[in-house]
Amino acid sequence: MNINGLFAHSLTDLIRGIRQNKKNEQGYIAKEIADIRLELRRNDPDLKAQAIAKLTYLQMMGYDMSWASFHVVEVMSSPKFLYKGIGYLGAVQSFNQETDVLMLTTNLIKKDLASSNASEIGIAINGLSHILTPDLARDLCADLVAMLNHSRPIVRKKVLLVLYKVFLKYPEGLRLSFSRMKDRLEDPDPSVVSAAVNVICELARRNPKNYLSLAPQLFKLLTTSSNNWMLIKIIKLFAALTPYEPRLTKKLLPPITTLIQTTPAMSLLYECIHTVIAGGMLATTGSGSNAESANMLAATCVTKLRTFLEDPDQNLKYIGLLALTKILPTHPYLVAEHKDIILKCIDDPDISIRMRTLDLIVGMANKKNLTEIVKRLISHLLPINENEVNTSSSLDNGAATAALMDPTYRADIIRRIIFICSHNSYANITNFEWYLAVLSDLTNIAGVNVGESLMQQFMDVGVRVKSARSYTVQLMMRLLADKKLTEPTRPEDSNSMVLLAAAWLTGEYCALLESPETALELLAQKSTAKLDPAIQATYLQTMLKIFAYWMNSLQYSWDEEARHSLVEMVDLLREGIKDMFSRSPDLEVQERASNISVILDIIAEHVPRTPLKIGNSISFAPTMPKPPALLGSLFPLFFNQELNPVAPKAQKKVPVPEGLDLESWIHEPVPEQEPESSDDDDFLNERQSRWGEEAVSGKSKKKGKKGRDQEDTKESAEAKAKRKAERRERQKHDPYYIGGSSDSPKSQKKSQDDLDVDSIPIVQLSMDGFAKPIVMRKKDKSSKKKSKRRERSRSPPVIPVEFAVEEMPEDATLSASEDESSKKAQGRGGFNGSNGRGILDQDTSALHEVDLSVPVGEDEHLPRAKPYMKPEEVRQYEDELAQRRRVEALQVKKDSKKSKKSKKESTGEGEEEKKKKKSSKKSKTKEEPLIILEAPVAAKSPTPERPRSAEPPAPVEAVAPEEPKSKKTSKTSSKTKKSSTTKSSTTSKKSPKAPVIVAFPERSNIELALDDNIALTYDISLAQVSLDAPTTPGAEPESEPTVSIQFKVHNRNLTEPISSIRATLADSFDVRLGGAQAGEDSVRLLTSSIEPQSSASMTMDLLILGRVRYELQVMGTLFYEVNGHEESIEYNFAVPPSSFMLAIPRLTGADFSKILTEQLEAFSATGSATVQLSSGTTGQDEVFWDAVEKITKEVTHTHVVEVVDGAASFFGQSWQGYQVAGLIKVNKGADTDGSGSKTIEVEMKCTDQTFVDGLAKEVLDVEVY
Amino acid sequence: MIKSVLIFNNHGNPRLTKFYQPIDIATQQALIKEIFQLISKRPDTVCNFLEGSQMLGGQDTRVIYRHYATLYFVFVVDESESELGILDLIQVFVESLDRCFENVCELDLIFHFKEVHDILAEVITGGMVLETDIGDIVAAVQEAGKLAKKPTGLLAQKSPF
Repeated sequence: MNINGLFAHSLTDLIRGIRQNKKNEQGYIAKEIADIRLELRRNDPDLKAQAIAKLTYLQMMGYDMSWASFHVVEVMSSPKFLYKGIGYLGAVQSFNQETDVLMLTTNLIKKDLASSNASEIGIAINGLSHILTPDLARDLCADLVAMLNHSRPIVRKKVLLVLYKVFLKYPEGLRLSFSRMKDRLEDPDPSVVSAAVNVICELARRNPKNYLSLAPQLFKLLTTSSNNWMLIKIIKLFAALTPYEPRLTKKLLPPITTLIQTTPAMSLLYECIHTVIAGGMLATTGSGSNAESANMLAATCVTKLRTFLEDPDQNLKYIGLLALTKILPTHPYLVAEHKDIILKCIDDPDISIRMRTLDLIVGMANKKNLTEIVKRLISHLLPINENEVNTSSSLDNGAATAALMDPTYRADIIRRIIFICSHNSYANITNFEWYLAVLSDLTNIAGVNVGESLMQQFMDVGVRVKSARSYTVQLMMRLLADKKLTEPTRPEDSNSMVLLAAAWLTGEYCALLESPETALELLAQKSTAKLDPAIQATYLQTMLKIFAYWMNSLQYSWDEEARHSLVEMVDLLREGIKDMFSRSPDLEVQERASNISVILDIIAEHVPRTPLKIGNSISFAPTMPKPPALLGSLFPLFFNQELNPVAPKAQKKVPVPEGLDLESWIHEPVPEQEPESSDDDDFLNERQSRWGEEAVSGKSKKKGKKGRDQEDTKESAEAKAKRKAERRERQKHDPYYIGGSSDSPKSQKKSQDDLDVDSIPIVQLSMDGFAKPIVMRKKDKSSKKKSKRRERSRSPPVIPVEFAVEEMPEDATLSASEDESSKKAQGRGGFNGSNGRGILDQDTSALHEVDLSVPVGEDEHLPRAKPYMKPEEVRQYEDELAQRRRVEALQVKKDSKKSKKSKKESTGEGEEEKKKKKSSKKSKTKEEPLIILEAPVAAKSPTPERPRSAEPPAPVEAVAPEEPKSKKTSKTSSKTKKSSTTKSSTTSKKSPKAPVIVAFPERSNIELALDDNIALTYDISLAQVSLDAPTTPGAEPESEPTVSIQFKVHNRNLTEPISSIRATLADSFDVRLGGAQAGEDSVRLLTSSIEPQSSASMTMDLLILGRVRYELQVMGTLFYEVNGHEESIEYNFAVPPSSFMLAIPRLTGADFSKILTEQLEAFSATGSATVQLSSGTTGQDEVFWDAVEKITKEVTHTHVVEVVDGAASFFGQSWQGYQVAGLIKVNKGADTDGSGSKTIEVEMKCTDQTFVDGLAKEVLDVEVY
Repeated sequence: MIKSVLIFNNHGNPRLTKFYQPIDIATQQALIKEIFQLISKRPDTVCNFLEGSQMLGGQDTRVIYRHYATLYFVFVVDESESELGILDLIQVFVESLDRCFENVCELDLIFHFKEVHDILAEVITGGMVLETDIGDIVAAVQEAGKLAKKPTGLLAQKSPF
């Protein structure tokens, strides 16, 4: 569309367009992005910069621009300051750690950092602070540290800040440069000092000990500086340091006290108070004046904090509360002093303030004030007018009304109420009936769906607190009858879930029901069918339960009336079930319904349908008809055992059977789930001392597991008795153990004795003593606290047992998990919902490891540290470097020729290169045919990486001029160490008999043709003649390349020699015989004949005329004579593009990125291939590195430049001057089937499309990687 | 550390987004939306600390904002920053914008999108406060501005911006 750049939309046009196309914004932007894509494809730097600016703007609106990251780098490398800024901004806004082009930016940023212009350095530093990767951090650390002495303060302070980011990615750098950083605390420019303090403050948050040595300097700053911003940071820094050096406190108290008393800046005042309290400075109980001043300070802080809360500025109020919340755990008495004003804040119209107050209040709740606080909280849930009636401090601000109706707020309040009440196993509750009433009120007024939590609370309290059970059942009946719940107008906001608890509790404790019939009728009401299936299922079960209980009770008064009501009830239930449940789409409900229907059918069949005959009326006492046995038949189904809660640690008390090794794995460990204990910190402290007496978290029927009994008898009776006594003592005082006590009729048949847990672990945890009035318990508890504690300390050791889920009754696991989940939701004391890492949190763990106490050793230094140079110097240096490289490259070429020459000289030859080749071949063929094989190979072997220990030393000399370079680029070589070591091993493996060094292994002995008499194989390599070809990239080659084909003819005939061997070439536009053979029609083998079972070789030089491409075919015929007959065999093969790749000096990472950024336009052609990695037994890494090795060295004849985890870049250059830059990376997420097989992506950029296509196909052709 | 700086208008349209840790673009947008929804409900009389973000998480993450005319300036910070200090810093940032644009308004921020980023970069680098002195900030911005306007080659005749 906007092909002509002049008509392209500028950023302003784009913004205007977006504003004018509000109705079809997305469509407009889609069109614009399409234009941007076109603009980016063009080679106009202005257009590109403009396109990136537009993309960055769209990125802000949520449009992805990661696809353009390569272009971003291009724009970053623009020489124009404005464009550079645009490029860096694009990078800052869109790059992340995985952006692969970051590999290319090292050199670019290095150059920008060396700029003479502070602004240019500025954008580079700012950009770097966002896009740092471990590699960038390591490579640039030295440059940045050197810049700490830059002449401009603005650069120095920016460098300081970015260094913190560098250390996060490259922690070693901290150690090595810390002293230089420390010096900045003495910088003449105050804002540089401030930046240094800022960074040290961040560092000290991770590992304060490291920075204690800075205390004197910081102290000096504290007393002399007037920069509030920095003072705040210093104060914060000291807050982190004082816990590690208590003596600091004494020194700090006077200046901080002065600050508190004098500073007009509220922010500084606040930080001082906060530090004083949070840093534990008040707690120091020194002697004399120290203690005195601490006390005075405490008093000052308290009064100052109060002014915060009383201030009309909401912000001060807010942070005052924030400070109090932090102080609360350590100084509860200080907070308690402000209770009046805190309670006032809870009615503040500002919801943020209210939330902070709630945090405080939750922490302040105790037995005494619980009722008051809960009342206060509930008043927030009530409608305003009602609220005014109920509480003294009503809400008069209308703004708060909206907030009050906010469902999240309401849900939060309710969760807090539940939290403070149930916290610490209901420790704060003295009256459970009150709590149940609160829960029931909450059900009604919530206005948000908190049914789940309420249901759990009802169940929990109902099951645990026996004394309140009869009240519970009454209450539950009320809930069952509550139309608001059974027929809610807005089901999503109603708390219908509590009906589940209501139904279950009424069913389980139906003995406490006044009228089971009413309950049954309520359960069978029509509206039930609309409830949640889980509730329906519970309803059904409850129906049967209550019915069973009720029918059983009819036995005792069996008469006509009873019979009649039974018949009626059975019919009512049958009808209800048939109407509502039998066709439920929910399987659970349907199944239960049909079960119960059948049971009821049977009962209906057996209930006498005719009126009962009353016995002889003459008799004084009329004999009642014998009740049918049927009546009691269902009772045992539900009521033979009572549910009892089980101590959470009961399971742990089960002794380990002999011979059972719990440490050994039964099968391979599966990924472990979070340990149970980690999510309830509340209980952590108690757990250590009160391991046995916590709140129950499960219940279980009393069916014992006989198997465990016997194991237990092995324990000494003495220990058992002791434990039993202890346990009984504990249980007596624990309200959360509910034993089979006397107020339940069905438990009467049970023994009141304390059942022995040791004999029947888990299930028979029945205890007495709970039924005592609550007040008495309280008294007991306090009087016996001491002795109890002593006993606890003597508790038998806890023997951990692996959890056997299937052995647990189903209820137990259910309630246990509920317990856990509710605790999880509550967390520790707070409701911030902010546990764990936030999405914007940064991983700073690496900094924890850094130890600055050990002095930096002499051998430790920053990688590639070099003195800071002026940009001119840098440029000069770079020029020199480039110059030297060019010279080196030339030398290498000469040397290689020389080395070849010398080699040839040793075999007695010394002519002109081109001619020599031919003649040498010929002469050699005569003497030692096989040696020729290596001649062209040796010619193309100059590589800088040659010096390898695995290889013979002689060739090293040939590349001696390269040596300094490889030293210089030690960074690169260390990076590529891995690949080079594998390389050397493969090389030695692949070509054991070739003592020459090859840049890449030849494709040798490729089978070509076969008949009865001969086997033809060939090798392919770039011929010596071609090596003078152009090496400057992009330049057109002056001539055509020549490829040497080394035919190897093997005589397969057992008896006859083969003679007169010659090969012809079929006519083709692509190839013809070249080199010395140019103009001839065939190539002859110069040896007269080949003896049986031996081989000979001959070379064919092919001049490649056609464009190098994938299937460049060569065809021909090989003629030979055997036994006097002329035979022939046809051959054909393709010359792969990689044959034209040259062995070039290894590129460093910096050069690589430089080439890519500076000559980006040339690299317009792309090719890619995806290859499957073999899923062998070797490690994934090895497989990957082997594949990289193969792709670069063997297939594409390139070399690895840089290696990062899971990716490698490579580079190569062809005879024609085509350059190939590529990236190999593991395809993430490909390994989905778990087979271990992976694919890797090979992406190449090249200066020639046909060529790169061919290379890509070559990569694909290789079958096994 | 400052974790993020956001500017959006009264309708929730972002005018500047800056995240000092890499975070994917979908999350960025969702976060802006969430914060806007929470903030837009708050009257100007209440405090400048925002609570209740479900997305942010983190133990000590705080959202501190200021509302100027049509724009909300939102800073997401962690514990190591002083809450009141950040409020001052927002003021510094806004005053710097005002000095650079002369009576800054929302349109300035829209059409000088890159310049706003440049100014912010002179206040905060890598999530840490670089400079709080408005004079110094403005001077640094102007220095860079001069360099950008320097006519170089093609740009002199055909500025795409």
